[in-house]
Amino acid sequence: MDTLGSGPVAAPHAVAFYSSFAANAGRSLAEWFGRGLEAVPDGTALRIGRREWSYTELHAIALRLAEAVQSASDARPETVGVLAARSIECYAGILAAGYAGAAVVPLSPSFPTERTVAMARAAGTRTVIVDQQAAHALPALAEALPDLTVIRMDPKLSLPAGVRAPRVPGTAASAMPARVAPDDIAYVLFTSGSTGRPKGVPVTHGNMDHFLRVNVDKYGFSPADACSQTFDCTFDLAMFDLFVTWAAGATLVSTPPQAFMMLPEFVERNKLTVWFSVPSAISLVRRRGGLAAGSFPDLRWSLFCGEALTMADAQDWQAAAPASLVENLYGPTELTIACSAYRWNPRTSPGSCVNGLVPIGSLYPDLTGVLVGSNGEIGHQEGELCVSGPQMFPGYLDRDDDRGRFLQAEGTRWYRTGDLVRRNSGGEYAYVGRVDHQIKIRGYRVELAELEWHIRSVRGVSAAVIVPVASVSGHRLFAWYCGEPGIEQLIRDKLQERVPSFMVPHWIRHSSQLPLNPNRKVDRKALTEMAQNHAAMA
Amino acid sequence: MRQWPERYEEIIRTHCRFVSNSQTVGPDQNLALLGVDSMELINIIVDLEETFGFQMPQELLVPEIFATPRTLWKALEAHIGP
Repeated sequence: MDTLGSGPVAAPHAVAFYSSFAANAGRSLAEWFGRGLEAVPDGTALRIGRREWSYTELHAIALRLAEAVQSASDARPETVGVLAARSIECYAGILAAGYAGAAVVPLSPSFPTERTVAMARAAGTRTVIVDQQAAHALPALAEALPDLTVIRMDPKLSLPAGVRAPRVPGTAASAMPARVAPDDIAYVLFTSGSTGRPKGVPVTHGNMDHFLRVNVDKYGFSPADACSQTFDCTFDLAMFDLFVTWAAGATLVSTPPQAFMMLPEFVERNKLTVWFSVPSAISLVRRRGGLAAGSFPDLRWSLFCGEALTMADAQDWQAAAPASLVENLYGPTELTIACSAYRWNPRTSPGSCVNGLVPIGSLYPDLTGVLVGSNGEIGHQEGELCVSGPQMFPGYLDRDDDRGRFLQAEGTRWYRTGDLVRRNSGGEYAYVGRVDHQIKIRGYRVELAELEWHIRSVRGVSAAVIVPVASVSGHRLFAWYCGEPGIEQLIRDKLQERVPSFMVPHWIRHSSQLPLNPNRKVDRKALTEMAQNHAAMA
Repeated sequence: MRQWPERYEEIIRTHCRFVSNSQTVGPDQNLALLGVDSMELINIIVDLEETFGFQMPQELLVPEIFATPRTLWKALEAHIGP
């Protein structure tokens, strides 16, 4: 591992960043990193445990990885996978994909290999940057993708026979990232789809540029800031962590879930000034006794996104981090990370909460929204939030997935978020619920229809319904199925092969007949109550 | 002969998502392979702390301790009162 950060490094100021976009059209992801690199070339860009990398070092590693990617084929690859987690390969790899002029496809070593293969296939990925944790998945990946190229920093990492693995040069020949255009894809992420396969969401450099301009301005991070990095890289909020931090020349601190165990100590030791996580982290920290008033005296910003933020959680966090400004961010992956934010005010905000949930605030500048009522009419005070503007993604990788997801109205194409919101008297939005059967597990979207599809595809299952059960640590899934009794373990095994572990239900129970409501539809409400009773007894 | 209280096994099993409720968890089965990811691990610790009324010492928060139900119990035993 010694070779990773200490190889020969490009001369600090050999980096002449040009703008690859037309004048005033903004920056590519590489250029947003370049903003921090130019400001503080010797500043700390990344800390993982006790190791640190300066902006110049991280830039040099990304250039070397990008060169290895480019050496693998004559044509520029459209996408580069990064199958790594919380390692230098992961962070530099995300940067390197962009340096090579390709879209990055973040993949997780902890996802089932079958799912990783499906994601790589859907994105047309033939080149993958990997770390040690990916080793177990490589044989299956190489078998499924015969022309796979693997880039690894550690030459001792063993590879399946016949896999192409170009050498990562000790020094990059070029000091320049490849040129990209605003419409080029910056990254591809996958969300749960209703048909049993994940949906690919491409986001362009232009989308990201708008998002970064808004957020870099709004939060005003500086090289003196140290920012948490809690999100897995398969989650788009990680792109906020990396690029809002790097654009400012601040320090990105890898913050694994174990850090939540002793969070006040972790925050103090790493001198964190910016915290960003899913709201469910708050209850974990509280359960560990880390949420006493004044526990985080040095935080300047406390940001939450990915799930509904409760009033009680916002109040407790604010008391624990009294000097920080608390914000609730909202937005689907399709609108580039987040499209609105609400600033918590300890005095006035409790009165603005709806159903005990903190409002999601106003849309970012240049984004517009309409509310569509259940009758399909626009302009209600309450309805499905549809958003358009420079952060709207161009459409799913598979065009079939676009069906029903866009609204054509008032001469504009809007993305339908599927979220029901209410507009309050101040013009801010409050989250009311979902229009469909989608829920969030630790911020990850889970389409219940997708899971039900996977269960129905198990031999012996005739029907399946999944309902969420509330628990102290967030939602847990309860699966009811009809068909052959006693095959719970078979269902579990099949799911384990096909979906990430957060999607595997905690409970799977046989039911001889699913209850129906007066409309002859499956009575999800009754099933939820039954599930809650079972869960309480388990 | 039981090696640990039933409550301990109950907590572990609840968090092993790849194990159904009717199954038992073997003492030497790898917790990660049973569906315990890092977030779930924290829930296990907090549940254990609440159930057995102790605070997990920081030096125990290392991956080796959380390998299997047996390694975890061995580490906890000394801290859980009789």
